[in-house]
Amino acid sequence: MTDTMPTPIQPHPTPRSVLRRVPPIVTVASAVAVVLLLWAVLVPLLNPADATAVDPARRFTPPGPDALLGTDHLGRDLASMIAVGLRTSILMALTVVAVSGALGWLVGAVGGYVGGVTDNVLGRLMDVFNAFPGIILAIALVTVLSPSYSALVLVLVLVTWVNYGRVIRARVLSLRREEYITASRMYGTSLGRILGRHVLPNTGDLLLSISLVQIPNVMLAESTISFLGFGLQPPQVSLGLLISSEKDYLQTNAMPVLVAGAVLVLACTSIATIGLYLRGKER
Amino acid sequence: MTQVRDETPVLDVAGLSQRFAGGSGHFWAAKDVSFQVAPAEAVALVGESGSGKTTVAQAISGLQAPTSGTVHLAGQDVVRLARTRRGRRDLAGRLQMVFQDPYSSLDPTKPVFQLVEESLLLSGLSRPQRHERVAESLDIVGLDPVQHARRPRELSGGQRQRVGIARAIAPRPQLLVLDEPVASLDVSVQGQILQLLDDIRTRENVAMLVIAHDLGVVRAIADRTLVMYRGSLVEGGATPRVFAEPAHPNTQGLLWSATAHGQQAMPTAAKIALATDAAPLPLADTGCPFRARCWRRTAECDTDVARVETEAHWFACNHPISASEEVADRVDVTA
Ligand SMILES: Nc1ncnc2c1ncn2[C@@H]1O[C@H](COP(=O)(O)OP(=O)(O)OP(=O)(O)O)[C@@H](O)[C@H]1O
Ligand code: SF4
Ligand SMILES: [Mg+2]
Repeated sequence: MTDTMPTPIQPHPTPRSVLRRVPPIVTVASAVAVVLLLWAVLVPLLNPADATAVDPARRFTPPGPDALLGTDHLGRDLASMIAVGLRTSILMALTVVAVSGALGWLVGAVGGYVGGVTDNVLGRLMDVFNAFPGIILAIALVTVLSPSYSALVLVLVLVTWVNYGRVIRARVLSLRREEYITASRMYGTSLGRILGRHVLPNTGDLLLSISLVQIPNVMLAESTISFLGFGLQPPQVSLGLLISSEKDYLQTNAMPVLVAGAVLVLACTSIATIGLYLRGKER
Repeated sequence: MTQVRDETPVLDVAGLSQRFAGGSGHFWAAKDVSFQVAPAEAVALVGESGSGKTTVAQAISGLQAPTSGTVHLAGQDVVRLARTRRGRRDLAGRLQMVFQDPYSSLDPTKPVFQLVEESLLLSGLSRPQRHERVAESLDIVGLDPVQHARRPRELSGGQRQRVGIARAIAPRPQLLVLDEPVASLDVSVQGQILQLLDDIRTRENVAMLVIAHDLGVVRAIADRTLVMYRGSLVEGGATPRVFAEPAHPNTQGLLWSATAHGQQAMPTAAKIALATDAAPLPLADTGCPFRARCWRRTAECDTDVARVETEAHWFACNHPISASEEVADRVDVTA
C-alpha cells in the first residue's frame, strides 16, 4: 500500500546539483585550500630530508632547480619550510578544534538539554570565558605556563571552546522540544544515549561549520603568538616563527616573509570562506 | 462495536486534574477527568483547541505528572512508573504514542529501520528478535523494504506517519495514544492512515485513545467518543449515539460547526452564544464550564451541573437537548 498523493519529497542531492549551486568564490577557496594541503603533504616528500636544516653556505639562494622558492637567511629551503610550517599550523589547529569542539559540545549540549541550575552554571561559565579578549588571554596564559607546544594547545582550547558551547546550546534548546526526543525519553533512554544518538547527529552540521571558522582563527593565533616569541620555539618550524626570523631581511630579501605571509593569509581566508558559506547555508 | 465489555480496563483514568499557571492566574487545564478504555477499544477525545486534550494525553503517557488523580495502565500506576527510567522502560512495552507531527517525531538523521527499532532497544529483546519485529511492523504499516534505508526527508508525510505508527506498534503495546494522528496530513492521505489504524486495532488487538478535533476522523475510528470542554469531560458515549443524539450543547455546537450544512442549520441564538468570548473560570468554580457560551443556560448552571447517565451515553448538563426535541440541527457530519 502506498500513498496515492504523496506530499513533495525532497530529492537526494546529487554531487552535480550541489556543485552547481556553490558560488564561484567558494569553489576558488576550496581549490586554494587543496593546493596548500598538497603543498604541505607533498613538498617534504619530494625534497631531501635535510632541506630544512640550517646551512649557512646556502644562505639566500635565489629560486632555482634545487630550491624552488629559494632559501632563507639560514639557508633553509623556503618551499620546505612553508610546507612544514603549514603542517604544524594545520595539525595544531585540528588538535585544538577537536579538543575545544568536544569540550564546547559537551558543555553546550548538557546545559541546553538539562536546563535549570546546570544550564545556569554552565551558561555563566561560558559568559566568563566569552568576556576575555581571546588572543591577549592566550598570550598571558602561555607566558605563565612557559611556551611549549602543549601549552599553546591548552590556551587556544581555553579561548575557543566557548564558540562551540554557545551555538550548540542554542541548537539543543530547540532540539529538546522535538517529539523524537520526547519519544526517546518515553522509552527510558538515558541522558548519555539521547545526547549521543539524537543530539550529536543533529548538531554535526554545526560542529563542522564552527570548526571551519575556528581552524583559521587558531592558525592565525598560533602564528601571531609564535611570531611574538610566546609560542613555538626554534627549532620547531611555524609560519609565524619563519616570518619572525626573516623580518629583519625584509629590505634585502623579502621573498621568505612575503611568501610565508601570503600562504598564511590564503590558508586562513580560504578555509574561513568555506566555513562561512556552510554556516550561511544552515539558515 | 458497542457491546458492553466486562474485562478489566486497559486504561483507567480517575479524577485526573492538571493545574497550570495562565495569563490571569491558575486554571484547570484538566479537571476531574475520569474514563476507562477497554482492551482493543478505540476511544476518541474531542474538543475545541485548548480544551485540554493534549494535557490529558501527556498525563496518561507519563510525560507530565498530573496535579491530582490517578492513571492506571493494566493495573499499574503510570505516574509512579514514569518517575524512573526503569519504570518508563516498563511503560513503553504497554503504552506507545503516535505524535501529530511526523516531521518533528522522527529523527531526520536516522534511516527508517533504525527509527522503528528505537522503541525496542530497551525492551530486552535480542538483536535478531528486534529486527524481526521491526520488519514485521514496517510490513504491517505498508512500507516495503526499499524504504527501510531511507531517511524521513525522503518520505512523504503519509509515509512518515506510517513510520511513526510502525515504531509505536513494534513493542506490541496494549494501548496506543494518538494525539491528532492525521491532522498534519493531506486529506487524501488521512483516510488511508485511518484505515490502517483501524486494521491495526483488529489485527493487533490494541486499544486506542485517539485525540482529534476533526469529527469525521472520530466517526471513522472510534467506538466511543468523549467530549471535552475547558478541561472537563462534558459528554461521552458510543460514537453513533453521541453523533446522532448529542445531549450537551457543546457537543451539538461542535457537530454544527463541522459541516457547511450544520453551520447553516445553526439557530441564531446558538450562533451568537457559541461565538462569545469566555474568560477562564476560577479554580473553585462549581458551575457548568460551558455556561458562558451556552444558549440554554439558566441561573442554576452558574452553581451546579447535573450528570445524567444511561447505559451507552452520559452527559453533564442541566438542560440537555433531548432526542425527541425538534432540532433544526440534527446533522450527520458524515452525510
Ligand atoms: N505547560 C503548560 N503551562 C501552562 N499552560 C499550559 C501548559 N500546557 C498547556 N497549557 C494550557 O492548557 C490548556 C490546554 O492545552 P492543551 O494543549 O491540552 O489543549 P488541546 O486540547 O490539546 O488543544 P489543541 O487542540 O490546540 O492541541 C491551554 O489553554 C494551554 O494553553
Ligand atoms: S449545564 Fe447549563 S450552561 Fe451548561 S451546557 Fe447545560 S444548559 Fe448549558
Ligand atoms: Mg493538543
